Amino acid sequence: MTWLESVGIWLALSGTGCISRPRGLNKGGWPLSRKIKVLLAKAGLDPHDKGIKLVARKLREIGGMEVFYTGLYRSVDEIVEAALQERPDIVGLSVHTGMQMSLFPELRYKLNEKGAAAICLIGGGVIPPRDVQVLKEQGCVAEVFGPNQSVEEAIDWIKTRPWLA
Amino acid sequence: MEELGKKAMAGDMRAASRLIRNIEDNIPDTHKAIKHIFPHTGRAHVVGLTGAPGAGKSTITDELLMAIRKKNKTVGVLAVDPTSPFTGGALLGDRIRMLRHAEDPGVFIRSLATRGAMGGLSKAVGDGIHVLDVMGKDVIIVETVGVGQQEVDIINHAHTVIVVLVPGMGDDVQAIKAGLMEIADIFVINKADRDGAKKLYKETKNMIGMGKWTNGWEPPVLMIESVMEPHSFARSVAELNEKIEAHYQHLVDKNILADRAHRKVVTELNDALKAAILDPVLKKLMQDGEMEGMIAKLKTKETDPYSLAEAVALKYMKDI
Repeated sequence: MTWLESVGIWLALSGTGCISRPRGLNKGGWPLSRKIKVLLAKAGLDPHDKGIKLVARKLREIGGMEVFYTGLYRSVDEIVEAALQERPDIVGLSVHTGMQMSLFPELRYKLNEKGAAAICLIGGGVIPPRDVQVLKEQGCVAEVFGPNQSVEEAIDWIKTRPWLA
Repeated sequence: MEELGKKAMAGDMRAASRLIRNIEDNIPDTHKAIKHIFPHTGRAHVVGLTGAPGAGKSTITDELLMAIRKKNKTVGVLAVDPTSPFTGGALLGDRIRMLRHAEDPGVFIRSLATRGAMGGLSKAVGDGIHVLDVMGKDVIIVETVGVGQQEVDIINHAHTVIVVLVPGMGDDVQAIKAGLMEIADIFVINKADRDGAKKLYKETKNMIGMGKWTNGWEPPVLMIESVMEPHSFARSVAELNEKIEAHYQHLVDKNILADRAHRKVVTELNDALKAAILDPVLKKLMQDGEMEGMIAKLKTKETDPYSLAEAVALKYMKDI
């Protein structure tokens, strides 16, 4: 059994994120000021941040979301810690280094381990479709957006998640 | 909700984080948790950092965290960034400058967006301070958004206010204007290696010399040079930390900590009253669609805002 498969089994047992949680029941139009919060992250020695900065800006400008960006060269532990302290709805990890098969499982595993299974994990960057399929099957990511997709598609995807309603 | 409050009091970082999120999102019943923790607050030293955009507040906060941690004190940070007035979105970037503390369990950093609040802070700051306070943080640093001259709400929440100035922001008249320059307990002239720093230092000193400092504390002016020289930068910030501690000691010694607390509770009471009185009325008006009718009437100049507000007040408040 590979490391990835074992994580997959662990995730299958512990829940794969994106669970709707008992918060913000909007009873009768109470003036909620809820915002969708997204933490965008770059991990390891990956220096390609042009895309993620564009995504950050568009999520803020077009999506009206609150966006955190971790900056470059973060370790998975640092991203997990930032996620625990900021409590976003979604963590978006951008990968341009071919490290997707270790970074996504590790990040998902550590988030779940620290009790943040409710935080949804999405991916971006250059990730081959076959890897996307495996990662999705193992429950490591909810969705992956590639270079041929517009940021608007990602915004639509986020806004149509039932667990954010 | 009380459960969240209890967990936060036990130092559970996840519960505290969740609680602050609920406060921000105005989730019903969150105030129950605040009710639970409120009697236990008031232990931490709240330090406010304010200044113009790009003055170096986050960078100084980062180094200040180092200095405070060296003294074995725990720290909470609330860093506020602006919300877009057009889309309601926000890009929260203060954290980028503080990530070297990410894995230190003695440091809790939380970014907040203003969400339309004026005054340089977010509405969640007051209660956010309470949450960090009951978590047991010794020092709480509140970093405001980059401010202009008038965003001085920080004085209602902080014991010690630091105003960060940078050279090249205007002539000597700027230094004697009301607002930001009045609220400082400590002035920091950042980027002091740049042209104009000495001039700014003199102007600030002059301004301080003209003032009356009734409680016996004359704001010191500290020069901090480029962050590119990490050693001297760290030394300057350590000195700033000494001044912060001295100021707190001064407040305690002269028994004026209560004055600061007074400002905070007055603000909190005002906010709570507004929320308790105004929110239900607004909610009702929106539900009934009355709000839109009133807006339509205003647009056609059929009536004026004051008459409408009086009518609403008469309808909902029986005793006034």
